[in-house]
Amino acid sequence: MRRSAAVGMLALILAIGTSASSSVNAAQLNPPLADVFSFDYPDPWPGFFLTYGAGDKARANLKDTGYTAFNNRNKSAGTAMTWAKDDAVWAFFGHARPGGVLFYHGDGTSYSELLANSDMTVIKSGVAKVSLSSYTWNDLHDLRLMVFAGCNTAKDGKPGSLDDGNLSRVAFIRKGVDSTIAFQGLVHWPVINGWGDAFFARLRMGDTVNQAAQMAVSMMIYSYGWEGGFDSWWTIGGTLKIKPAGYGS
Amino acid sequence: MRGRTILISTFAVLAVVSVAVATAGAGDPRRTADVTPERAAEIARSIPGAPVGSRADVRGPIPGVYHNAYSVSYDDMEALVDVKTGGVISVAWPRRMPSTTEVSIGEDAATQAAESLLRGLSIEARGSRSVQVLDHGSVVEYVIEWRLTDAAGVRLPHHTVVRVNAATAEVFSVLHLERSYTPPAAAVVSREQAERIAREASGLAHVTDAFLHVRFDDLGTQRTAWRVNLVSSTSPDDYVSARSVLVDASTGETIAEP
Repeated sequence: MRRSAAVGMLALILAIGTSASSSVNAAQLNPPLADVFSFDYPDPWPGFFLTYGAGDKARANLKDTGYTAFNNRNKSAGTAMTWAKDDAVWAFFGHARPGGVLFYHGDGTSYSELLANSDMTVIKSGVAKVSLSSYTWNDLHDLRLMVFAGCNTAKDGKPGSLDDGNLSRVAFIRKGVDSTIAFQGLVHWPVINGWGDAFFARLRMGDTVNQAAQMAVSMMIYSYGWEGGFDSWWTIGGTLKIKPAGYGS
Repeated sequence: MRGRTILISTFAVLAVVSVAVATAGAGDPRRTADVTPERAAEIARSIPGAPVGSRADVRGPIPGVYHNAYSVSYDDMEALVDVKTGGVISVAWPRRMPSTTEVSIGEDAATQAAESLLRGLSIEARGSRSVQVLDHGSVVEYVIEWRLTDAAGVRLPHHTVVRVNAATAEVFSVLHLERSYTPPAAAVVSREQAERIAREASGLAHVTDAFLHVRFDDLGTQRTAWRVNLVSSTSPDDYVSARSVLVDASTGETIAEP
């Protein structure tokens, strides 16, 4: 079942059962929701990058942890952030840069960006932009974990640019997300596929976010002979666990 | 009644579950499982400092770059045990991992802690040593790494990585990859040729790193290969595609990775 249909049914059941208040933006479902976003970026821009494997493995581990989990392929930033309002875990595997991550829509031509902090309305290159800072605390504070698995996602975007700001800091400090993980350097394909499995498998086993990140790096060296850049992991709220399955506080 | 209690306790220590079957390197005799999961649990229990009386969970075999291994988990200690030799490939103590950004020891103390633990595990670290302090935002660790290379700079299958809690000086992770090898022949494919092949295979223009290393194919045959790392852009503000491409240093063929 597709994510939208499945969650729609769950939300309807929840609304009927609880007469949910319209003053609350985000819905908490049982089991909690987890959305993973993966992509099949084409050449030439910004370069081939296939992260379906990472997404599939993350989703399988999240399901086994007790979440209703989806690996959503080639969705837009707007869709991802709309769904984030109902999520306990949200994970992105794809192209990134300091202060932003790139969503590819699967049609060969269109993209959208999730930017940390931009309040600017300038649209460049026809790429739609979604600002993490434009969401309210109520929208996102139910998130227990946000994963930004891409190059340089832990770095601040260029001051004064469209990417100004830091995805993890905005999520954690301003939006009430309980924990985040991002990367200070380049992370390489195909190692990202192994990392997506190892990191979420460790969380399923009951590790904290920090422990899972640490153990996943060792597993990458064991599996690939090098860490693929994943030793540049950077966390806020890394002492948190996502098992047992549940929403953030 | 007492006998029944002892029997249950004995089996509680060795509760074994095998959940995965490795397919990678299925024709490599070095990856044949001569060690049983039960024996792997016993080997892990003999590691100095292993928890007493706790229950073991054994998974695998798990395919690695040089070996296949069982993953053995006890309460607060985990190990990878080679399915062929019973050698301990890695040990980790999750509760010893850093929980703060405090750095109370220097590189010398971290290195001493690492070397002391390696002696206790009878692991011989060889090759050049590097020490890094890695800041992960909410925790800080020392990473002490030994890597063996030949005179031509080819990375050999002898690699040790020890991680030390920067606040407590406790070693919380040891990884030792070692496989017997023959001295590698000189590469037929030059670095320039390998970079060109990797560019064509990946579609990415910029090489950030390239090195030769010894690896083993699915039949266990030793190969020398280039690992070429590439990015789509070197501008710090661009979206970056980063890929790693393996190029056989004898044939120039690219080698697939999972």
